[in-house]
Amino acid sequence: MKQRILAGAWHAVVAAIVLALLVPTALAQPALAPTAISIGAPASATLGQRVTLQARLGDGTGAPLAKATVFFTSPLAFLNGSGDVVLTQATTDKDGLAVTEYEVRSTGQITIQAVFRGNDAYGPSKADATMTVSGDGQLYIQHAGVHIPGLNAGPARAPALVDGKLVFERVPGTSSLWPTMSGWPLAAILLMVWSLYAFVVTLIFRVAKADDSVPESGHPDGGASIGVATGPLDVSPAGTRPEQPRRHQMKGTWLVPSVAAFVVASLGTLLLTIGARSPYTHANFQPGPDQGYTRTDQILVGSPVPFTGPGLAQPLPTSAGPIVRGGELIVGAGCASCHGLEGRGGPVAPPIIGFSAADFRAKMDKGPGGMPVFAHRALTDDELTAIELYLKSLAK
Amino acid sequence: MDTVNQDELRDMRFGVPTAWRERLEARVLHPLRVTNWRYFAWIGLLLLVIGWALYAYSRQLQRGLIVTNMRDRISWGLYITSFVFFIGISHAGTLLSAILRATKARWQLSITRMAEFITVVALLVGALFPFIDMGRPDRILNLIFYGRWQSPLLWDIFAIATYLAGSTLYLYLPLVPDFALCRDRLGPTAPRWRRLFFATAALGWRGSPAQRRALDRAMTVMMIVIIPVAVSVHTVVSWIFAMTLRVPFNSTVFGAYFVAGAIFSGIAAIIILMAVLRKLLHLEEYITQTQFVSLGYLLGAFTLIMSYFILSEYVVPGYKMEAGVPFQFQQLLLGPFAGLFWFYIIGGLLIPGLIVLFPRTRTIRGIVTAAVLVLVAMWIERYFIVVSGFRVPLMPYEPANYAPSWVEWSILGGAFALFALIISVFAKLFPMVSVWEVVEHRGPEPLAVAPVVDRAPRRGPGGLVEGGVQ
Repeated sequence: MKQRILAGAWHAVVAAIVLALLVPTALAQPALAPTAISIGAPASATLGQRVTLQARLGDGTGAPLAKATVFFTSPLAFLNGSGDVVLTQATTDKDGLAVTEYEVRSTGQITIQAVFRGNDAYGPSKADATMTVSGDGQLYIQHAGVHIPGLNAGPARAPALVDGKLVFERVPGTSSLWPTMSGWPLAAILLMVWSLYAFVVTLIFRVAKADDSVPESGHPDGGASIGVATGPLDVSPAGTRPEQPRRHQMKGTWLVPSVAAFVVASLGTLLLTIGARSPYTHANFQPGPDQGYTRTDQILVGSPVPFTGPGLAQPLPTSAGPIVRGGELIVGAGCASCHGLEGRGGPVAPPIIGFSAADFRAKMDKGPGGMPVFAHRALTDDELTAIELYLKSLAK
Repeated sequence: MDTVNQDELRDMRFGVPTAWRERLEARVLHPLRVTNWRYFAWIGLLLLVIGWALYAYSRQLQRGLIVTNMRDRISWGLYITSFVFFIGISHAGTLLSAILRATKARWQLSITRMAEFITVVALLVGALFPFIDMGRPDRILNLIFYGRWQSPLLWDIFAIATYLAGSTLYLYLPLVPDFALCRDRLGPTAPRWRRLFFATAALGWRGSPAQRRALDRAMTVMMIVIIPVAVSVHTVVSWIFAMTLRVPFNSTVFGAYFVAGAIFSGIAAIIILMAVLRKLLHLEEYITQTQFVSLGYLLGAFTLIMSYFILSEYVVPGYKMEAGVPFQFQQLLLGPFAGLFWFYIIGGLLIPGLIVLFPRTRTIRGIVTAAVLVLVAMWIERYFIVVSGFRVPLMPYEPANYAPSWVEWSILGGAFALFALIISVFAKLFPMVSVWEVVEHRGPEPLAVAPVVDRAPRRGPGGLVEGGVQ
C-alpha cells in the first residue's frame, strides 16, 4: 500500500517535470521570419506640399511581402509625453511597395518612419528617413466670423467622397449673396467715426487760429475776458474796441491741435490697417469664393491609395548606369516637380537643359529666385553629374 | 473797457450775480492754487499701493500666470472681472454728459466735468487689464500684426481705442474755456510751467464768436458720436463672453445687459466721486441735493432695468434647462456663488431701489449709500458672471474652484489706487467744475431742494433762447 502511494507520487513528479518541459515548447510560436523595410521620402519639401511616401517591404531573402499594412509615422514630443504619430498608412502591393501621400504640416527636420508592425508569420521592421521642410503660411481656412446661411453663406450640401476625399460643397448661387458682410461694414463704421474725430480736430484748429480782428455781423465783440458771447441778447455797448490778444495768451497755441491731429490720424490709420490686413482667407477686403472646408485627408483604414505620382519619391538603390540613375534622381530629389520630368521647365521654374553639374551645385547652394537653398550634402557631385548626363541623353 | 467790465457785461448778459460768479471761480480754482500736506500724504499712500502692485506684477512677469489662481478650467478671473468693471464705470461720462447735454438738460452741468473725467480715467485703467491678464504681454503685438476682424479681441481693440480717443476729445473740448479762465486768473501767481500749460491748453481762447462757433460745433459732433461709440464698447466687451462657448454665456441679451449694467455702475461711480470732491473741494454751493436726487432717480430707474434683464437672463434658459444650465443655477442660487448672487440681488438692486423710492431716505447721504452698494454689487456681478461661467464643466470632470491669489488682489488694489491717483493729480491741473457752462447755462443753484424742479433751460450751446427767461 505504501509502495503504491510512493509509486503514484513518483509518477506524478515525473509527469510534472515532463509537462513543465513540454508545455512552453508547445505554446511557443515558431520563430518569426525576419522582414526588411526601406523607406522613400523626398529629402526636402515645403510646408503644405503633398509629398509621396513609399516603403518597400520584403522578407529576409528580399522577396516582396504583399498585402501588409505599413504605417508612416513621425516621432513627436508634447509637454512631457512623446510617441509616434501616425501620418498615414498604406498596404503593400505584389511588389511589396506601399505608397501613400501626405500633406506636410510642420516645418524643420522631420523624421519619417515606415513601420511594419509584424504579423503572425513575420517580425516587425522599421526604417526612417529625414525630410527638411521649409516655408511658412497658414494651412487652413478658418471659418470664424458671421455666417448666416442664405445671407452670406450658402447652405452646405452633404459632404461627398470624391477621389477618396471628403468634399464640402455649397449649393451653387447661394454663397456670398451679400459679400459686404465680409468685413466692409466694420471698416466703414470705423472710418466714419474716425473721420468725425478728424473733423473735430479741424474745429480745434479753428479755435486756435480764430481771427477776431474783424468783428462779425455788427457785433464788435471779442473782448479779452472769458466767453463773451454774441447773439441776440448781446449787451456789449457799441463802440467797444476789440482788444488784441495778449502775448502770454497765445503761447504754444498750436501744440494741442497738432498733437490731437497726429494721434487721431495715426491711431485711426493703425486700426483701419489692422482690419485691412486681416488675412484673405477670412474674405475680408477681397471676398472670394468660399472653397469650403479644408480638412486633412482621411485615409480609410486598409485601403491602399493608388499611386499617381510621376516616379519614385526617393529612388531605391539601383545598380543601373548613371543615366538611369539621373532620371530617378531628377524625380526623387524634387527637381522635376518644378523643372519638369525632362528638365524643360514649367510654370514656376525655367528649363535646366544644358546645365552642368557645377551649375546645379551653384544653384543649389545659393537658391536663385524662387528656388530654395538645398543642403550641400543633399545631392553628391556624382549624383549631380548623373542628372546632367540624364538631361544630355534626352537632348540627343 | 477793461477786463472787469467785460466780465460784468457777461454777468449781465447771462443774468448771474457778479459776486456769485466770482465766488464760483475762486472756489473752483482754489485747489489749483493751494496744495496742503494732506494732499501729498494721500499721493504718497497711493504711490505705495501702486508700488506694491508693481512688485506683484513683476512676480507675475517673472514666473508667469502660475502666481495667479487661474488655471485651465477657470482661466478668467479677477483681471477680466476688473476689466469689465472699469470699462463699465467709464460709461458715466457718456451718459451724464452726452445724453443729458443732447437732451438739453441743465442740472448736470456742474458735474459733467467729473463725469467725462471718470470716463477717461476708467478707460485708461480698465484697458490695462487685458495686458495684465496675459502671461506674455508682448503677444499683444500679434493682434496688430496678425489681427483678423472676426476675432472678438480685435473688436475690443477697435472699440476701446476709438472710445478712448473720442472721450479724451470730449473731455478736452469743454475744458478749453476753463483753461483760458485758469490762464487769465492764475496767470501772474502760478509757476512758469503751469502758465505755459494753461496757455497751451487754452488754444488762445478769447471767447470770440468764431471760436465759440467752432467749439460749439465740435462739442455737438462729439456728444452725438460718443453715444453710439460707448454703446458699442460695452456691447463688444459683453460679446467676448457671449461669443465664447460656455453655457451661461449663450445669451443674445448680453450686449444690452452689459450696456445697462455699465451705465448703472457708471452712475454709482459718478455719485461717489461727486460726493467726495464736493466735500474735499467745498463745492456744496454748486453740487446740491438737486444733482444727487436727479442721479438717484436715474439709479433707481436702472435698478428696474437691471431687474428686467436679470429676469430675461435667467428665466428663459431656466424654462428650457438645457445641459449645463441646472449646474449653473445650482452654483449661482444655492452653491458657492449664492452669497455673491444674493448680495447682488438684495444689496445691489433691491435696497438701492428702496432708498431712492422713499423720500425719507432720498437724501444725499442715502443716495451715496445706495451708490456705494450698487458699485460693490456691480463688481460682484461681473465677478460671478465671469467665474461661474467658467466653472460649468465642459466635459465630465470635477468642477474647479477659483479664489484670487495675493498677486491678483494686489494688482486690483493697485488699479484702484491708480484710478484715484490720476484723478488726484488732474484735480490739480484743471478745474473739476465746468465753470463757463455753469455760468452761461445754469446760474446759481435754486435754493429750494424739494420738490426738485429744474430751472427752465435758458440758452443752448448756440446761444439761442430755449426756454422762458426766468
